[in-house]
Amino acid sequence: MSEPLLASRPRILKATAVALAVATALLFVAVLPAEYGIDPLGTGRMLGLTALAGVSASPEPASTAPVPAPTSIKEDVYKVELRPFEGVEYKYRLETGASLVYSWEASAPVKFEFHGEPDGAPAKYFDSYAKGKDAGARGGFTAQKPGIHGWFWENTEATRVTVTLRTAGFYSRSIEFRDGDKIERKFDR
Amino acid sequence: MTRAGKSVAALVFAALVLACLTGVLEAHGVSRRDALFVRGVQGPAPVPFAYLGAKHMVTGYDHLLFLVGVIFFLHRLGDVVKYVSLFTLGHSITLLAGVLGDIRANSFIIDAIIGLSVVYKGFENIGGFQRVFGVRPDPRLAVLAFGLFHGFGLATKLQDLSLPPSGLVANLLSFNVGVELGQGLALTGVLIALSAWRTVPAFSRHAFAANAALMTGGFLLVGYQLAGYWVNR
Repeated sequence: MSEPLLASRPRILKATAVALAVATALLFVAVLPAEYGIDPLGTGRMLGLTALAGVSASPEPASTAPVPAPTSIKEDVYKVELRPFEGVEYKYRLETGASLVYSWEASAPVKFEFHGEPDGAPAKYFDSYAKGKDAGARGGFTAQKPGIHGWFWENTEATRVTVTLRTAGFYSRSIEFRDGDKIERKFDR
Repeated sequence: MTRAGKSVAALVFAALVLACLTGVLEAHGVSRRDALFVRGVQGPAPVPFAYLGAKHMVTGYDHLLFLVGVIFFLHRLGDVVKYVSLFTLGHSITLLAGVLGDIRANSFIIDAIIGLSVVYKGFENIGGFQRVFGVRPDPRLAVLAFGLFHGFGLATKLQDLSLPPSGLVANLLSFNVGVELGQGLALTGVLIALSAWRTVPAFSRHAFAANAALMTGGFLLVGYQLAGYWVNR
């Protein structure tokens, strides 16, 4: 049997109150601003913590090392559940002249932009192919420039939305940008 | 090597590399990279799932805080085994039942209760229940009951990953085995540290402060999770 301490009642009550107070202070001063961007005391902005909550996927230009275009057709299904007001990017590596066909659908209308980042382009530069707000789209695409080409989806509602993308084409890898993470997936040649 | 064997080996290697790359404590969530891996798995992959379970336990500070509270005053190894077994029994039941029975619980609420379990244990350890309420609930019952909630927490995390149905039971059991391995690993470290600490003359003074700190951490977890519930509701 364990033998815990038997502190005096006032000491216990004091310790509990202090624990609660310290936790509440930490919560409002640091945790809420850093995790959720909720900053009732203004301490998050003062300490630079709110920046943590606002981190968005900042797409870096993909590696510019020349990659031979794949010669066999690949297929891919990408399914993602977006939390309220969350955005995600999913792109494919396509060389000049390489094509893909696609179809995506969302369980509710989402903001989207079909776009590409050519190799060697300056930061934040992209070519826009289509944008709007819809519950789905389909079509074909042939890359005019080598780079990564794909979709940005953003859930603008307060409920969760599932987006499903199906593609087939001559891509070598896919890159997902979400929560500040960059996740690459290679397709076998 | 067979094709399946090769792919399992490749997955284990990938998981290890990713774990090294990630290298950060994540209270709960299985990381996005792991999530992507899980989504792509076809059929049983026992070692990667065991690894994920172990990683989840070793890097899940809420589970660890609770376990520190549970074994804080356990001197005999037999007692440690008894209490940890009760915790294991509790969380295994709800992990398996939650995923196989597709029982969905709100993960923020579950995680808030897990935070509360840390507060509970800290309060119990300083004699709070006897002194303030005049009665101490059976600690064995408490550890079993909170074990059930911790298991539900594990289940909601796995469900968030949309596990492929092929090989589900095998993967789930592997995950559970991994959880126990990770728990054993973490407990060994905690026990060594606690035994060393107990030899210090001022231990009982430290012990009071440590359990008050445990309560603080628990309260913080509760607030953090409730805020998450409020933001995502």
